[in-house]
Amino acid sequence: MSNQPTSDLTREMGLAELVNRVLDRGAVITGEVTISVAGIDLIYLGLQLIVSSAETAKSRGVYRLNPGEE
Amino acid sequence: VGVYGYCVLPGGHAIPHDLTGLDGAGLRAYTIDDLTVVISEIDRPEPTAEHVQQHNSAIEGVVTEEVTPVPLRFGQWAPDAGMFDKVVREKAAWYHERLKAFAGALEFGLRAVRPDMPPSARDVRIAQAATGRDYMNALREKVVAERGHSEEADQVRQGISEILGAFIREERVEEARTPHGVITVSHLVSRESFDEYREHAQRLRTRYPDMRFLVSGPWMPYSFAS
Repeated sequence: MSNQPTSDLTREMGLAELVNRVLDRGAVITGEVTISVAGIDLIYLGLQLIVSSAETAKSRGVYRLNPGEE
Repeated sequence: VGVYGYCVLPGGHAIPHDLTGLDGAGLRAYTIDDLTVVISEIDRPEPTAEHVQQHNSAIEGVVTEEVTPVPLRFGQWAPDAGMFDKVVREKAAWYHERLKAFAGALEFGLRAVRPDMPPSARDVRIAQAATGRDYMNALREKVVAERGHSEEADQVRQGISEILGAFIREERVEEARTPHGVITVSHLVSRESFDEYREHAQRLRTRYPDMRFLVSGPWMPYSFAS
């Protein structure tokens, strides 16, 4: 992850934030769905990605995310 | 084939004719009294990251400057529209209240992370304690750590309110679920305040130099539709 261009990093962090929102929040009508990979919820994977990306971002000066404004 | 829902809109709100949903499925306005649910008639979708993105894109496609929909969580599928009729009618007043609150606004996320937070401050393990005394010591350490974390989160939340409070309509605070997370908040922000919100968020870096602040958005207001 440390060698990724900043634009890739931003895109991954944006995806992680999106997955976290769309799966974990929003109005519920019919039921719950959880996406998981190898038994680990993607919501949690997304949050792990955010944290690891934040540590990488420290050295890059990336503090603000604005999807679509890379 | 069943019915898949994306979001709820005021009755009569137009859906762009070229907008598509999951796997390119067409979108249709399903009217329930004076509310509209945006739906596709499809089989139950597989939960994939691509479908999550398509779900969100469909909702973003119906937003206007005046109308922001109440987004549905991914996976809202039923064999027929009866379930949608029942739930939307039962919660009609809530949907109307949310549509009014969302009008002309979208969501921003703000996540405070402290990468150098010692593991003991968030994740003191007590399950492996060998003796009763070890267990009690570990338990005490965990309680102290959690209290310290809570106080830190409260302080950061206060700082966020002081710096950004003038630009937000609503706030939701979420428990930080990661080892280094301090606090996660979502803000409902009016379109005219987007630039000021972003600019003022930068001041958090100065006030809390040991933390990383990740600001994202604008998003559909998922955090305010739960």
